[in-house]
Amino acid sequence: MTEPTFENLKNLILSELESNVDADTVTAEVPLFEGGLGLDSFAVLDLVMAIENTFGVQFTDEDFTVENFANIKAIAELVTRHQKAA
Amino acid sequence: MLLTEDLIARADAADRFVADDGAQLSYSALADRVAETAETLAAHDWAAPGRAVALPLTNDLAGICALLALFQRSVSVALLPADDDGPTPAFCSARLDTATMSASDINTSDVSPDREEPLVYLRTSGSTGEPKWVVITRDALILNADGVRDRMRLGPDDCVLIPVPIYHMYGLGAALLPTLLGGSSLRVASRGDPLSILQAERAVNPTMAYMIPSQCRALQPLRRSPRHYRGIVIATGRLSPEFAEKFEEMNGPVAGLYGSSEMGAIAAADPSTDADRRRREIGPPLNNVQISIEADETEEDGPATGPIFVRHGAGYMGYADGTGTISAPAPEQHPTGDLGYINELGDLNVVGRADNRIKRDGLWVLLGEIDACLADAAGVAEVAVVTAGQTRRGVGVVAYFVVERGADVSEEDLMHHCRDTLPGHAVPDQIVRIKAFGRLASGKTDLRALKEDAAERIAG
Repeated sequence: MTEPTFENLKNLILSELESNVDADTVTAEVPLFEGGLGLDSFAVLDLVMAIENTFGVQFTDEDFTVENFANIKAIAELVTRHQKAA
Repeated sequence: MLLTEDLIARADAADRFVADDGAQLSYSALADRVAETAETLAAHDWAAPGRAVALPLTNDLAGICALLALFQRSVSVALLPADDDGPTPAFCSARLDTATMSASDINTSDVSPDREEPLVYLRTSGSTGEPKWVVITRDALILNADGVRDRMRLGPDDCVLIPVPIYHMYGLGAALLPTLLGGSSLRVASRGDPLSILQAERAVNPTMAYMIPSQCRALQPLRRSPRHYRGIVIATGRLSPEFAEKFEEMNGPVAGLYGSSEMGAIAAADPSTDADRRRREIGPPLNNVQISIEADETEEDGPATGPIFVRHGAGYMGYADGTGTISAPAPEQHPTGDLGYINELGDLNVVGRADNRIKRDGLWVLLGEIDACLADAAGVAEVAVVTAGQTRRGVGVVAYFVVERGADVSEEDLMHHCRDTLPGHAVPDQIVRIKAFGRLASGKTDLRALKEDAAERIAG
C-alpha cells in the first residue's frame, strides 16, 4: 500500500495534473486552490481520481469537502484514515 | 419595485433563508440588512439616485445586500468580477467594496450620463478591443428574471444553489433574482468547483441548482450516490444526450436555458418536462419573448435552421462605451449571432455560432486566439485549429501544426506553451504534429479532413 507521504502527494500533483505547478511552491500547507496553487474544477477531479488510484482508497460523498482537500497535509490525513479503516 | 416589494412581503417568512459559504440570514433579516445598507448609502452623494456605482460583485451575502440596496436606492450599477483590478469605469461616481461597504475612486462631478431610470451595466466578456457595456434597466432585468421564476416554478418550497458568478447575466438575471422573486431559500457559493458544490449541498439540501456544463462534467465522477434535485438549470452550452442521461440518473432533471447578456433569459425548459424533450431541445421562449429564425429558404429537411433573432419586452437598451453613453441602441430585433431552429413543439434549439467563437467552461474562446498562440511558438511553421465533438470543458478543440524545416518542436512543447500563454479553458484538448497540411484546389488548408481526424481523436 502506497503511503500518503508529503513527497508522494507532491509528486502526484506535479505529475498527474493538467496544470503547470511550480515544484518550489508546493508545501504541505499551501492551499491547492484559490490563494495558493490555483487548481481549477477539473484539477480537483483529476486529483481525486489520481489519489484513489495511487493510494488504493475509495472516497465517499461525505469525504468531498473543501477542507479535506485544502492542502497536502489535509489530504494525507484523509487518505490515512481510509487506509486504516480498510 | 417588484423585488423590493416581494422581499418586504416575505419579511415574516422566517424559515426561508439566504446563505453564503459562511453565514445565513432569514429573509426578514435580509430585508432589514438591505434597508440598513440603503440608509447608509443615502448619506453619500456618490450613491444618489441617478448615479452609477461600480460594484465588484462577490457570491456572498455582502454582495447581495449591496446590490439590493443600490437597487432599492435607484442607483445604477456597473457589475464587475469580484477580483477585477482594472480602472473604475469613467461613468461611475464610485467603486464600492461590498465587504467593508467603503467607496473608492469617488468622483461626484457630473460623470453620469442622463439616467431617467436605474440601469445595470454588464461588461461584455470574451472579446478583445475597447470595453463595451450592455445596458439594461433595473426594472427590465427584474421583469426578465420573473419570467425565469415562472418557467422554473421557483417558490417558497425551493432552496436554490448558485455556484455560478452573480455578476454575470446568467447568475444574476436567471438565478439570483428569480430565486429572490420566488421567495425560495438561496445558497450562493463563492467557488464553482465540485467540492464546493457538494459541501454546499450537504449544508442546505437544495432542490434546484444553476450550473454550466463543465461543472456538471466535473461533478459527475464525484457523485458517489444518487442525489436528486427537482431541477438543475444549465446555460452557456448543452450536455451531450449520452452524458445528460447518466448525469440525470445521479442528479435529477436538467433544464436547458438559453440567453445572453443583452436579452437575459430567452428560452428555457421546465424541469418537469419529459426527459426526451429536455435533452433534445432547449425549451420554449420565456413569456414576453419572441424568437424568429431567419432560415435559408433552400433548406428542406427538418425544421428551418438559421440565425436567431430575439424581440424581448425586457431586453437591453443598447451598448455603452467607456463613458457610459449608449453608442449603439438595441435594434428592434436582437441578432444573437447563434444559429438555431424552433421545432414543432415550439422549443428552441441552438446549433452553433454564426462565427468562430465557441464556449468552453462557460467562457467564449476565439479559435483565432488559439491559432495565434500556437503560431507564435518558436519553430512552428503553420497551424490549423478545428473543433470536434464534446469534451468535458465543452466543444472539443484540436490544434494541428507543421514545424519549420530543421526545427524540433514536440506536441508536448506546444501544449506547455499553450498552458503558459492561454487561459485554461482555451488550451486545446489535443495538439497534433503533422508533416504537412492537405490542400484544397484553391490552395487553402483542407479543414474538412482535419475536422474528420479531430472527431476521431476526440471520440477515441
